[in-house]
Amino acid sequence: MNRAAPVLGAAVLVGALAVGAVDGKRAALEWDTMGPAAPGTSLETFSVARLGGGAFTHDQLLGKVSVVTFWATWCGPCQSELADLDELDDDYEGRDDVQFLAVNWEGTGYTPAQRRRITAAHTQRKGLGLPIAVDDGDMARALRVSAVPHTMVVDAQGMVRHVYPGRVRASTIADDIADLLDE
Amino acid sequence: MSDTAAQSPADAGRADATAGGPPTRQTVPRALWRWGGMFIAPRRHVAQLDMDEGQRDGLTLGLLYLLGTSVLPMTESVATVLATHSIVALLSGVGRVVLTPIVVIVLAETLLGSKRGYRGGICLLPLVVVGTLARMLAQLGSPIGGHPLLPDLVGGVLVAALALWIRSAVPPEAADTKEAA
Repeated sequence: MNRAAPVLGAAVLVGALAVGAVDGKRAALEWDTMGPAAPGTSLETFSVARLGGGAFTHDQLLGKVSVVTFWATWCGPCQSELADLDELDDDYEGRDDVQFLAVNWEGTGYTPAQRRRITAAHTQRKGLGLPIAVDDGDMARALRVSAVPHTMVVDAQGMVRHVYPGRVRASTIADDIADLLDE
Repeated sequence: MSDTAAQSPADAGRADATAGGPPTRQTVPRALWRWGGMFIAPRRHVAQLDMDEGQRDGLTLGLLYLLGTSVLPMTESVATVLATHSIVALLSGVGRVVLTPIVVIVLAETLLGSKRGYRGGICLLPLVVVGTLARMLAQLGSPIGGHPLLPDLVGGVLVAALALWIRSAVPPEAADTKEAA
C-alpha cells in the first residue's frame, strides 16, 4: 500500500507527460500544416462524396463564389449556422455564380455507410435543402479544418478569401459574397 | 478496491518539518503519494490528509489534463489564430481546452459541499486518467471513436462519483480555518 500509492501517482504524472511530449513533438513537426488554410491561399485539391451521389471536387469551385462549411450532427453551434446558411442558399437559388456546400465531418470511428446514414437522417430531420457532402476526414485534412463549425468563402479562382472558425452569422457571409461578386 | 490507508509519507513529512527542513508533504513525492492513494482507498486516504495540503491539486491536475489531452488542440488553436487573426478563434480555442477541467472541478466542489470543497481539486484525477488514456489510444492508432467529448463525459461522471463517495470522509473545514485561509 505504502509503495503502491506513489507509484500510481507517478504513473498519472508520467503518463500525462509522455502523451504531452508525443503530441508536442508531432505539433512541432506538423506546425507548417496546422491551422486552417488562411485567406489568400489556394485550396489543395480534394474530392468529397455528395450525399445524393457523385462527388464534389476542387475543380467545381472554379468560376463561382463558394461557401464551404464543415459541420457535425453532434455540434450544437453547427445546427443554427446550417439553418442560417440554408436560408441564405435559398436567397441565391437559380444563380450560377454562387454555390454552397455543407460538408459533414462527423469524426473518427465511423464506416462510410454509417457516415452517410447519420448525415442523411439528420439532413432529412432538419429539412436542410443546401448541398450536403460527407467527408471521411480527407477533405478536412486537405483544407486543414480542425474543428467544427468551420466556414470558408472561396472566390471564383479557387482562392480562400474569408475563414471563420466557429459560428458565423449569415449576414457576414452575405456581405462577403456581395463583395466578391462586385470584384 | 481495498479500503486500507496509505500512511508513511504523512509521518515522514511531519518528521522533516520538525527537523527544520522543507516540509516533505509539499513536495512532489508527497503529491504523488496523495494522488496514488486516491486509487487505492480514497475514503480512508482523504480522511488522513492534512487539511492544508493539496491546495494546488486542482491547478496541477488541471495542467496535467491539458498536457495529457490538449497539446494538439492548443497548438491548432494557436495556428488558427495566427492564420485568421480571429478573436473568436482565440476564445473558442482557449474555451475548448479549459472549459472541461473548470466545469468538472466546479462540479466536484459543489458535490462535496462548501465545507469540504477544498478537496475538489484531487477529484480531477479520474478525468486526467481517462482523458490521457483516450489520447494515448489515439496516438497508438486505436481511437475510441464516438462523440469527441466521450472521454470527458466518462471522466466527468467518474469525478462526480468520486466526489460523492469521499464526501463523508473529508473532514469539514472549520469556519475560522476558512476565514484564516
